[in-house]
Amino acid sequence: MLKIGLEIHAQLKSSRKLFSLSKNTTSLLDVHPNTTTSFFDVSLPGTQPKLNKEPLLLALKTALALNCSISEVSTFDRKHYFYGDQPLGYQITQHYQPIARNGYLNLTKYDLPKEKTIRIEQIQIEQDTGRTLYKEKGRSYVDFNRSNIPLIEMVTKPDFSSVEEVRAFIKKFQQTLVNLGVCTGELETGAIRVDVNLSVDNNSRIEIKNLPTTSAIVAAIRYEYKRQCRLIEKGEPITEVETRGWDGKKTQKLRSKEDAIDYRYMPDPELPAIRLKVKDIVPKIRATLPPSVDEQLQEVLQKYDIKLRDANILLADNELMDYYKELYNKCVQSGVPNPINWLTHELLGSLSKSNMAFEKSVLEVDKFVELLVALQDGLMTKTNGKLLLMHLINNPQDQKVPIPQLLDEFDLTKTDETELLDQVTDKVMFENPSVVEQIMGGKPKKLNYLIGLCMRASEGKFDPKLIEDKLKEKLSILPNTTKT
Amino acid sequence: MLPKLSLKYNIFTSIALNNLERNSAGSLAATSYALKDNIVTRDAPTTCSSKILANYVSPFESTVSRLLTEEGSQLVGKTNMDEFGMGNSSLNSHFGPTLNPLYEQKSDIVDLREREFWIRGEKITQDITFEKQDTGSYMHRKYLVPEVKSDYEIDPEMRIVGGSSGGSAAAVAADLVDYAIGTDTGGSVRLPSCYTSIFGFKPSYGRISRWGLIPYAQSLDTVGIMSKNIKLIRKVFSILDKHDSSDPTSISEENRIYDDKLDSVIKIGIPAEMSLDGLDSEVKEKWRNLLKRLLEIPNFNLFLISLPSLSKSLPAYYTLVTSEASSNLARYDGIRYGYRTGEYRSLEPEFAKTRSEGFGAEVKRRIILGSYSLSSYGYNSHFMNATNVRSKLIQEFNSILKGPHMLNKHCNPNGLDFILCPTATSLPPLVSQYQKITPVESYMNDMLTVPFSLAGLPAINIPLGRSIGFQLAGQLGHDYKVLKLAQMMDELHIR
Repeated sequence: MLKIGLEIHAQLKSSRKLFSLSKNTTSLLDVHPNTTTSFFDVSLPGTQPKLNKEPLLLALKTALALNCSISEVSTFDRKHYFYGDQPLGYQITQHYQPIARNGYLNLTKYDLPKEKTIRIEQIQIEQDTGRTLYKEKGRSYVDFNRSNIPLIEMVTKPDFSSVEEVRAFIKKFQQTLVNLGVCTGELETGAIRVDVNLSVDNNSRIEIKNLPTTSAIVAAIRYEYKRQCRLIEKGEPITEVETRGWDGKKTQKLRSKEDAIDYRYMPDPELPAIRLKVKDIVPKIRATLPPSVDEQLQEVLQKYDIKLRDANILLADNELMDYYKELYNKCVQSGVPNPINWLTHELLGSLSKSNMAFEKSVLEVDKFVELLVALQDGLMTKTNGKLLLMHLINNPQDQKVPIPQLLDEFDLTKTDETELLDQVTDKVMFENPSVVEQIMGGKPKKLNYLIGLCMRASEGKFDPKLIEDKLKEKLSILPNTTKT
Repeated sequence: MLPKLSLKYNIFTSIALNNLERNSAGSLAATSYALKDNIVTRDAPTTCSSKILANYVSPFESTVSRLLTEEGSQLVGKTNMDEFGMGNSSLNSHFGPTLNPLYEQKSDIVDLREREFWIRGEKITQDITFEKQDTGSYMHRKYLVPEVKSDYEIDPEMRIVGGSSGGSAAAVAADLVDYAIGTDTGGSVRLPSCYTSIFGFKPSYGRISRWGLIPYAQSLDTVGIMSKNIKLIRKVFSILDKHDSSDPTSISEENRIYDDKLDSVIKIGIPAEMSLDGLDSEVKEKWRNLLKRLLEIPNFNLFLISLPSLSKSLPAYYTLVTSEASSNLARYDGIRYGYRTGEYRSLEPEFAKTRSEGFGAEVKRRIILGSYSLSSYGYNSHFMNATNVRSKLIQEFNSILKGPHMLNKHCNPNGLDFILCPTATSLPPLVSQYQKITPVESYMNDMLTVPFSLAGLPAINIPLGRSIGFQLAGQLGHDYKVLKLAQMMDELHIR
């Protein structure tokens, strides 16, 4: 029997750091090293910490969204260890009296085939460390821009019994933070970091660290589960708590209980306790929370009639959601069908091919509508529509030019010149006698291959449906045996 | 005279050679002062008398030195101390010992060397600071630093100056400055003031900003003022007594008490635990004289009191300060500033060797003690026990003092106004004698000063003869009353 608990660190998107006034550039990776550091962030002698209220508010929002009870009094403690990117020699965290406790997150029908509740033990506020960069052998560099950025650490109860549940929880947790606007939610940039606690058949607990992506988390759990099952079969189940790392292929022992670090926790002697009038502030903060991820999913699914997969994509990005809603409304007004595929497949696909991130400004909603209307009116083929979309996001200056003019300019206008169509189809049929034979011999699906060749030969000018009809006409086969 | 005395008594870690422009209209315009070298300034290095910070120049100014500069006071130098404030003798310094100017020292113990550095803007790097710059936009700073003679001799009759603010006390006692700023964690202002026969005032915890004070144990650290002139202490205190939003433990403006009016009948408590046993004959005699004189004054009422937790306060104090110190000193790893060894073996990370070489013996001893108290073995039995003793002691003080307490507003209408006791049980030990005792024996000298630190109370050393002094303490926040009564007692001329 597999039992898993998670410890998740998430960087809070406050404008300033936790205990100093330097800028929090957490989500920006292109900031020059050691430029957003204050005297406190590099622990200059004689500096003192001062708690900023914004990260506290963001932590409280998260705690409420995760159904936790907020502590009337919470305090800060020092967790000691030496490391090059830990400038104070300790991390300021909340060991003895965390800000929130006893919450839960429901995994619903949108997340899992079978619903499940994961209990949350506690949420604490703490500082991030600097980053060590290994550029050349025997030398490491430390960037303190990340030092003192606010984090929350959330610890779940060991309530997970499968990899699917873990995956669903991480996704739901990310969506929840993004929905609240408290964190970018990215694992890749380290804005969210997940440690896994795992035990098999109630044997000793193993902690797995260094898990940079969801797929690494899934793979590490699967690997560790199999490893322990083999040990159990051999009659040698693990008997000691240990910490293991993930190297991309296997888990490896980092340290055992004997060489576990004694963090020498000490209440911070100068940071005052956080005292909250919980009865007053909780309703006020709750009133500022957006509808929950589930509520929003339900609303989006019903109102826009889209697939769950697409709804999840929209929910992962507030800006994208707003963009879609505006696009949808304008499309409806212009008589264009639901643009969801054009958004989640074509636009996001083109952006990822162009190595660009989605922002509202990559394509004005009105321009997108204009393009979809032109398509609807039959001014171009779908293929050319995609080409034009790609062109517009890569050449924003052309977004000012009317669509028909662009179509002319790039010779993308759909044509139905029968003569040209005759020539193209004849040529393709002539050059591919064996395919023609196969189609005639009862393999009608091969027709798609010819349609593709005709599209290419005509540079997408003809509607595929037109080509199909023409080919069928020439091959004298029955309609409706093929599908485009 | 200043460098000359410094050669013999080794009072300063750096003596300023630049004549910086001063605010001649400030309320302290005609005064000069010395600053303990654990308070950061931009115009001189700040070393804590430690090798690990020997060349460190802070890119920012402490609130204390900023306020004094704004009022036109002239900083003549940074004073020698026990490394990071750990000690009560001022013998534990990377720059050599500070000696007591009340006793004769015949030969020089240090040489003074001229050093210089450059500052500009907010950026401080080793290159900018200590290597000459071509550009004229850097400000040039020149100063003298002591270098211990290899064969120095301390006169056999020399007594310790006390610590850890020994340099600040010596600067005042030798009349080199009008007043000095020290810091007091468990008696570091009061004890050297006692040993050098000057006033040494430790205000209530949180009254003077600690922004820029390099911490030893933040829950107890306070900035104190030392002078021969009690009125000047009051004046300097009124300038430094301001809320500072940079210091999270700075008392808010609305909680500060400025009242200095004394009641018509002044009730003074004499703790039995602090006054009878174990006083040396010289101290006992002066103490008896003082009490006799006070009893003659009709509106002074003396009461013998008992505070049971006093007997446990010294071990509790040493448990708490070493714990906090082990944490505060964890940052000195040589990576971002300060001393760095530059070599290491694969067995031992570089920061470990840096720390072994950069800290003195007493500092290392206290880091080890503190690390034990915070470990999973020692936390409940040591750290938490000491915390509980401290809470109990504070309750005992609250139960006997009139108040109101500055923070919890606790009042006791029939309570005492002040507590009076000796500052030290004996004359300062001879240096030769002090060097022979064990560290734990040396900690006993803090017995009488530590309780007021644990409770954060304002306390002042009132000098009464050569190297003898008495402590007057009041309820938390009643600093101006303590200063007022100290002035009245000074005017009684019991010497």
